Amino acid sequence: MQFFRLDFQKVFSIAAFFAVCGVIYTLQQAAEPSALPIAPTFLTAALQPSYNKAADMIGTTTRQYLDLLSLKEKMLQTQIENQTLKAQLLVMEEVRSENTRLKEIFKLHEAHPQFEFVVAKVTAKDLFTDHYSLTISKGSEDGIEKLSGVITGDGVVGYVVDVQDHSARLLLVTDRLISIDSTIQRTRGRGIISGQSKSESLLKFIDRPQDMAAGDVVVTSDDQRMFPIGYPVGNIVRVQVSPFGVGHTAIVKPSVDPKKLDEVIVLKAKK
Amino acid sequence: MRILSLLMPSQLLMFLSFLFLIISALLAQTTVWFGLLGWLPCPNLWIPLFVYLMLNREKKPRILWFMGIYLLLLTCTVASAMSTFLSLVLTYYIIHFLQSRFSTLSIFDLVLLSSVANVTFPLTYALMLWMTSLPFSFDWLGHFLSLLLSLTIIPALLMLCRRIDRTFNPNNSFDDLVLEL
Repeated sequence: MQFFRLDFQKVFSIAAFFAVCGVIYTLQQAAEPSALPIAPTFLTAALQPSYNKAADMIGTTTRQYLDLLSLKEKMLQTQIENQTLKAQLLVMEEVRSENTRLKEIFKLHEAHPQFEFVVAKVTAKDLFTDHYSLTISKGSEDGIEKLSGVITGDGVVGYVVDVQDHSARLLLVTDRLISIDSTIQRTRGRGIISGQSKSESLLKFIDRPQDMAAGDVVVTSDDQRMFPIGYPVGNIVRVQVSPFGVGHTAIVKPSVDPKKLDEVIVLKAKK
Repeated sequence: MRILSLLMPSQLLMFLSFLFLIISALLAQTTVWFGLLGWLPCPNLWIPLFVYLMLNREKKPRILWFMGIYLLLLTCTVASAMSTFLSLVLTYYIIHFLQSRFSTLSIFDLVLLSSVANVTFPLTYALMLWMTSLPFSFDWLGHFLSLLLSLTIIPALLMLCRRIDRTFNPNNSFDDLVLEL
């Protein structure tokens, strides 16, 4: 009888072991298509495409999102590069503009060898609204003297009225206090240029009204040493015939717009 | 500030502060404004300072400040010295006359007088120019814009002047006349 007395704990353990092995085997067999014909494959098969699509969508969206992140980073880099290139372009434009100005100055220098040229930067304007003068960045230390003529490549700007060591004040051709001996290019009629308003000058003391007409070019006269001879001052806009028959005047638009001045050329007579 | 006040008397410090303020105003008007905004009419920053000093100083310092401002103005312009002087004198008398009409002198009154000076100085100067034989044109638009811009800055400048006065000279008898807004 002792033979039939079993240790059920051991029996169940062994049975459980074999059961687990059996389940594992069954599951392994189920991986094969015909392993378990009763398995509800149709259910998984019906749902699989939807899940597949969902998985695809999730995958695509994730990839797109990751791509977007990467794109954003690339875009930022491109923007920075773009800004840098734009800044470089501006610098290059400035250099080109400076180069053009220097070329003009060089040409002027060749055309007027009797003068030495000092290029100066415009730094300040007049305190009063009714006066048109500018302060420039060069002074007596650079050889600038009082009554030195000031020009640009386009025409006469004015002349120096006050000189400090490192700065000078110049009177613009539009200021009422200026006087420049001038000639009408076409007729050689002579007069004095004087400023009138911020954009106009007056050509005064013209002997004959027939010497001047609208559109005539006014240039510096032959009999002075402040400016190159025949250098443009402006164009006659309107003629004002004096009722007394003498001292006719003309309104002149200066060749140089003072509002657009960045640099000017101060003329020094060679000694 | 305390170390400076130990080294220099407060009157000298106040003088230097106002001098610095006036020079800064003139340079801001001619150089900084021009550098940033070109030929756009700029506010007359020096006029409120002139009005403040003319109305808040004793007779002798007032004359010295008058001459000081006049000479400083001449360094920044090609304007005729005589015309500028006469315009300043006329402006001074106009604001002094108007000030005598007020019983007290508040910041608001100072702003009003500075605005009046902003109108009278260019007009009197234009009158001087008109009296000479040289060509004359008055830039109405420029002066009007300048006045409008000045109106925005005058209160701040006057407050600053008052602050300097209070810092260096708390016992200023004229200061008592100036009331808070």
